[in-house]
Amino acid sequence: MKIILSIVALGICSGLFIFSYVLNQRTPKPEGCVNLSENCEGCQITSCANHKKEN
Amino acid sequence: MSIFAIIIACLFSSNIILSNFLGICPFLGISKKPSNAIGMGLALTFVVTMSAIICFALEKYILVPLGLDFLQLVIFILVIAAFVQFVEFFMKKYLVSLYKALGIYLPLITTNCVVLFVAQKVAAYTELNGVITFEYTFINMLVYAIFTSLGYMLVITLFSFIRVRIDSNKETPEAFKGNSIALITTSLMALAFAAFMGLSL
Repeated sequence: MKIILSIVALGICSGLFIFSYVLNQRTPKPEGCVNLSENCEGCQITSCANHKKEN
Repeated sequence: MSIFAIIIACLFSSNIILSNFLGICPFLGISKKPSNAIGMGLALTFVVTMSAIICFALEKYILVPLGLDFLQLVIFILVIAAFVQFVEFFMKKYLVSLYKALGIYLPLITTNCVVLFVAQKVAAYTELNGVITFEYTFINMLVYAIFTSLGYMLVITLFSFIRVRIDSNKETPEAFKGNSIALITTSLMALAFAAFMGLSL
């Protein structure tokens, strides 16, 4: 029973995340916010949208 | 623990950055300008408070009664990530001016370990003879979540003012420039804040 409940709970949470991610990605950014960039270099994750772009 | 003691501990003596060393990546990355530091702090305060409430309720009313608390970490990560996505969506759609000011920090908050730390801390409980007692009441949890993130905001803002001066200092040796001098400065700030541990509350 616990295993089934675990799978259901994980499924609900994963589904919630996928739904929110898709919903957010499909929503266009408002005008004037398209090219916002933070130029952050706090970590080495270069795929992050806020990471400082190399010239 | 009294509310006042929680506030002082969160802001000064047990500051999340200076005593737990959490959230260091955004701390180093976003502290170059005071305006960015304040924006990050405000966005973090909102996300930490809301996710702490959600995770506290989830743990107390769903995970523990169903015996699924071993899934706590995975479920909290998914819930926090989904919550940040919903907040970003809502801001894009209905709060454009707020999105312009704070929206850029939301992707960075998803990877900020402060959020998960606070969520796990407020959901902590002890079990004795089958009786489960949560360490935090709802009010204590709320105060802890709000003031932990305000403590983060305080330190990142103070540090950003110091960093402006450090970055404009031409006498900094080449080897110390960037994150090296930033971390040394942070350690000195940690020593200064450690003085608050002497307070007896």
